[in-house]
Amino acid sequence: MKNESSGLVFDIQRYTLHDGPGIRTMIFLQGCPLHCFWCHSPDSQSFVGQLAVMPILCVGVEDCGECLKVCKQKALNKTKPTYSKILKKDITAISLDRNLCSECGDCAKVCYPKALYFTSKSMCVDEVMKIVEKDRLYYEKTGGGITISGGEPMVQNLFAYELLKESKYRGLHTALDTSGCVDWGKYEPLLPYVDLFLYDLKIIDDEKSSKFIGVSSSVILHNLFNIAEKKIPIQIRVPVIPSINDDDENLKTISRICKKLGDSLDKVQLLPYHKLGTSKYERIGLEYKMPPVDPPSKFEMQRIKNLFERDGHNVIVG
Amino acid sequence: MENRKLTEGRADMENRKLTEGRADMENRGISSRAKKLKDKYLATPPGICSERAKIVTQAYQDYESLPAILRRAKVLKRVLEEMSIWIANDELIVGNQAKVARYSPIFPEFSFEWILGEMDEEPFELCDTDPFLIDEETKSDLRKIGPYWKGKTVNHLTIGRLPEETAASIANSAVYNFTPSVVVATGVGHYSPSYKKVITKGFNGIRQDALEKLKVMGIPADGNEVDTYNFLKAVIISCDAAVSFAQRYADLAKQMAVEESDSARKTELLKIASICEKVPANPATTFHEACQAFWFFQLILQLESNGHSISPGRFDQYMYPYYSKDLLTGQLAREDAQELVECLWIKLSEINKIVPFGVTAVEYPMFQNLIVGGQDRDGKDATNDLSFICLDASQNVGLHQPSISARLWNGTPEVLWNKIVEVTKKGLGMPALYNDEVIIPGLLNRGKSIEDARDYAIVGCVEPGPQGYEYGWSGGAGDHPFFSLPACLEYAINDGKSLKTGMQAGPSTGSLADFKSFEEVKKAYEKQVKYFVDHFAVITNTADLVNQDVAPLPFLSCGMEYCIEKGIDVSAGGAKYNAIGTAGVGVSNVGDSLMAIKKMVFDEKVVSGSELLEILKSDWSGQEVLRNRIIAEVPHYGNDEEEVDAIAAWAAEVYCKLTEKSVGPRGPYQPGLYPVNRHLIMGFVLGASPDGRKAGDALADGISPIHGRDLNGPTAVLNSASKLDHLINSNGTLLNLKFHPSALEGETGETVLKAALKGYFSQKGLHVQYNVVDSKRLRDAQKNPDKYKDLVVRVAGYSAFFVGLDPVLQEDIITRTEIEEIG
Repeated sequence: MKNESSGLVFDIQRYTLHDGPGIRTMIFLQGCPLHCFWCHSPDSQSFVGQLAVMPILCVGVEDCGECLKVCKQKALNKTKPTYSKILKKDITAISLDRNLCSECGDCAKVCYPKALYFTSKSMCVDEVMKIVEKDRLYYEKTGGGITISGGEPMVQNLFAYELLKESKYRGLHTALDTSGCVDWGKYEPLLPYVDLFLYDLKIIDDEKSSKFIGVSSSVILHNLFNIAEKKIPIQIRVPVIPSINDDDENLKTISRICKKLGDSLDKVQLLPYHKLGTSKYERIGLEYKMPPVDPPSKFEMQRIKNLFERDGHNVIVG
Repeated sequence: MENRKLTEGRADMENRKLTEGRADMENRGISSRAKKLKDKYLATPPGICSERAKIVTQAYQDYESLPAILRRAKVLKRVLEEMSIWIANDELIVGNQAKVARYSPIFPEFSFEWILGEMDEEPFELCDTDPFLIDEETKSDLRKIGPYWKGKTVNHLTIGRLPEETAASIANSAVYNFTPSVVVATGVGHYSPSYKKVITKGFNGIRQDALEKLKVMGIPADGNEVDTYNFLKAVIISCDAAVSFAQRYADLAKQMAVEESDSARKTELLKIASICEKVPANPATTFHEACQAFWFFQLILQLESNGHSISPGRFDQYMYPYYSKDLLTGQLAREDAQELVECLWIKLSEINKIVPFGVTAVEYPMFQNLIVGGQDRDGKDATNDLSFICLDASQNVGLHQPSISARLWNGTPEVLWNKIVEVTKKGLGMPALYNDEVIIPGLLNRGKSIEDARDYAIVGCVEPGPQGYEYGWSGGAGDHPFFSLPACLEYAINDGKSLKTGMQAGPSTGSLADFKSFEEVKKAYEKQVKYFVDHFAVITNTADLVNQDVAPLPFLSCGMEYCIEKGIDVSAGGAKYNAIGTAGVGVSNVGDSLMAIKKMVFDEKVVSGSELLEILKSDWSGQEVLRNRIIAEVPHYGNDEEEVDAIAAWAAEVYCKLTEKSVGPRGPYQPGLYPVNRHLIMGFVLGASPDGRKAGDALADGISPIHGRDLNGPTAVLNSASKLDHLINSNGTLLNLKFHPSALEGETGETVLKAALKGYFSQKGLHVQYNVVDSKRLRDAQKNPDKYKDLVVRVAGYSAFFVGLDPVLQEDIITRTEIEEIG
């Protein structure tokens, strides 16, 4: 019995260690309705795949230039000679004019060094499961399994449903990593197939929530309490973003909400802001709008950890 | 017997201690004495010492008419009598290899011409990696003895004895690490003798065994009995030599004590003197004595022959009775034992030997492999407190020797796993880990008894063998067990010719331009491998015979079980088990290249066979598109992809099965798959290969994937590697995994690291070594991103390929890593 329902997969990462118990395989689904400007994965936000450029991998038109031959929009240009760290010589690389680009993806198909690539690809459940199954042994040794993440995986709720159902059928531990921002009606059918929710709480103040992430916190909290009522384990994830949501008031409110989850609360995971995603903005032609701030120090993270622990929570950092 | 009882009596108590995790088992950091010795060590640059060479050259002439066995024993005796000895400040364990610590003695009797050549052409002191200081006096000493050795070295005699076609296969091919002028670069190493025998019996006891054997034999009138007689006499001379060598240190210590003004040091020196008077002549009774006896044995082995990989093996097992007894009687505290072990680790790091240019490795490796944990001869877990002391000493001392390893099995206690993870995180690339569940059956398959198989140690890099019982020659002839599989493939697709020079190297087996199917390519590869495996055996067997004839090892024979009982020198097959080990290099490159040929030439016909061949000859000139396409579209070994993994496994099996069939003068051949560092030089001499590799680029190391081609993370690499047949690779396999420390952070990191290892081992993986990438490597990754395309940096909920990161962030990560290293 083949399961051929398909979805847009942004990435699959095996051997992830911090996204639920044990060794896991993460399935990142494309698309997110939020627009957090500190996002470390901006290329996963769009609802369709996008053309991305990673200039360091370009081998130069002297040796290649295949993309120039196939681009019908004349959106690709040669740069001035630039030094390639990989080839250790000056090359004439490629730059993309996004105003002319139609995102047809033809160039990515011939770019073997992957300097031009498409951010997602369509995969069916069976294709995904084939990869997931490869590490079954490691899941069994560590209590790991599959984690569906995004983007916001609930943008592709039907595909997420199929993946979770198939994983449970195969006896795997399942986790769903969500920001809680879609209608409750979409969550309900999934619930029997989710062993653990990784649930983001960013900003509780409704006005600030709408301003910074583009969704009212009331929807997020409504879904959260509904899940808690069903007694499904929840790991609350709090990204700690300096000057956006790291004020004591917000954090204390989150901690109080966690308390209300009762037995459903598994633990609280604090995720310190980092800048590893910044270069990704450039790759897809976006500007990184996050004001320059330093990632929270170890000391600061410990302080926040204590704050949550005072409410009796089991807290992990990172 | 008494020792055995001690071990058993302590076992219960020890297990309890291990599980409870005693507070006093915690690592308290390097002892202040070892710290001082280490600082001095680091301040001493390596150099070359001509003393041994001069003594040996004179002694060889003095004993010209003696049979080789007696001559070798007497030459060693002269070295031990005449060489300079010293005792450094703060030392508790004494005994030096050369006039200065870290200086390399010279062993002209094995191979000498290259030393004179390199002195002028590739000056030792100017080498980029591993320079050795050499002064004019030393150079002149060495030049003076040159003429005597012409035509007399093991190397010369081996070359002279080779059949013509075999000699031609060396000159014309790039399959071996031999060159026409250097076949045997060093003496025989690669063994793990019975330290236990030397420590428990003493050389007086061993001497007594030889005397009794002589007495039983009476007049040596039968058959080869004269040889036996001379061998036993050589054993007696060797035992006496060791005893009087130790006595020299006793005398020196006493004399130094007289002159010493510091009363604490005076006491230490007097203690050293009394210990050296007692061991290694007599059985050791304390842990300190056992350490000193161990060291004399190791040191004299290092002076008898210049082979590498003289491996201490199961130190935690044979030393444990002394440790536990001293601890029980209260004459030794745990920290004292820790300090002694740390002193030994520094001594082991002082051993140094030069090797020919091109064989040079980084950081003066001596491959003195020391292994902890595993099972005892009855199959019970053997982990004890000393296992932990050894691992702690390695992380405290932080030098390259000993090469520390750990044996693991289903019954390994969790606390040992935890200690291994702790040490791994320090980023030394050690300990290397070995799987009893694969190695023990693998040794049974080679005819070892179950007890001996369980009692294996690792020799050199990765080669398992029963300690004290096997003369395994796992380093092949002159430490050159290496065999380039990609070279065989190069000749297989080019009618036996080199792609780089066009010269005929192997037999004519057709060309990629004419092959009609992938099967024909595979057949040609098999024929090339067969041809070179056969000639490899000729070379190695010849070297083995020459070693027997002119360079027997009577001192080693003292410490190898059954040599004295049998009355046969170890070089002539006196040990219980005999073998010859080999090491296939570049299996990943052959797997990836065959996959590329199959997919691009035969399945999808993207390029024709003749076109691809021409492209390879031109080193991908103007074909960057195709090269990148192969890298992008052809599956690569190491990504857990069925087809290519199966092809790689096949390529390895061809080599292993053919090698198994070879027979040596003393015993069978045992294949392995590991490179040490030869994947660099063996890649350097080859043309471009179908896997997208450019001419001259390095090959993959061991059974690890090609750098930068494994893109699916560590579990995928482990899965791919586990598809090879590790059981028949009884000379060992090597898998390297690179991790950034962030991947191992916190409890989660440690738990899953253990789980990943257990997973690989339960799939019958043989060996794995985790390299936690340190900041030095990250700097290298910044400079050479092509080599590190696979390096993943992980933070919570997010991973990124290091080379794709913005330089500023790379800098940030490096700084963070440095901070962790200091912390």
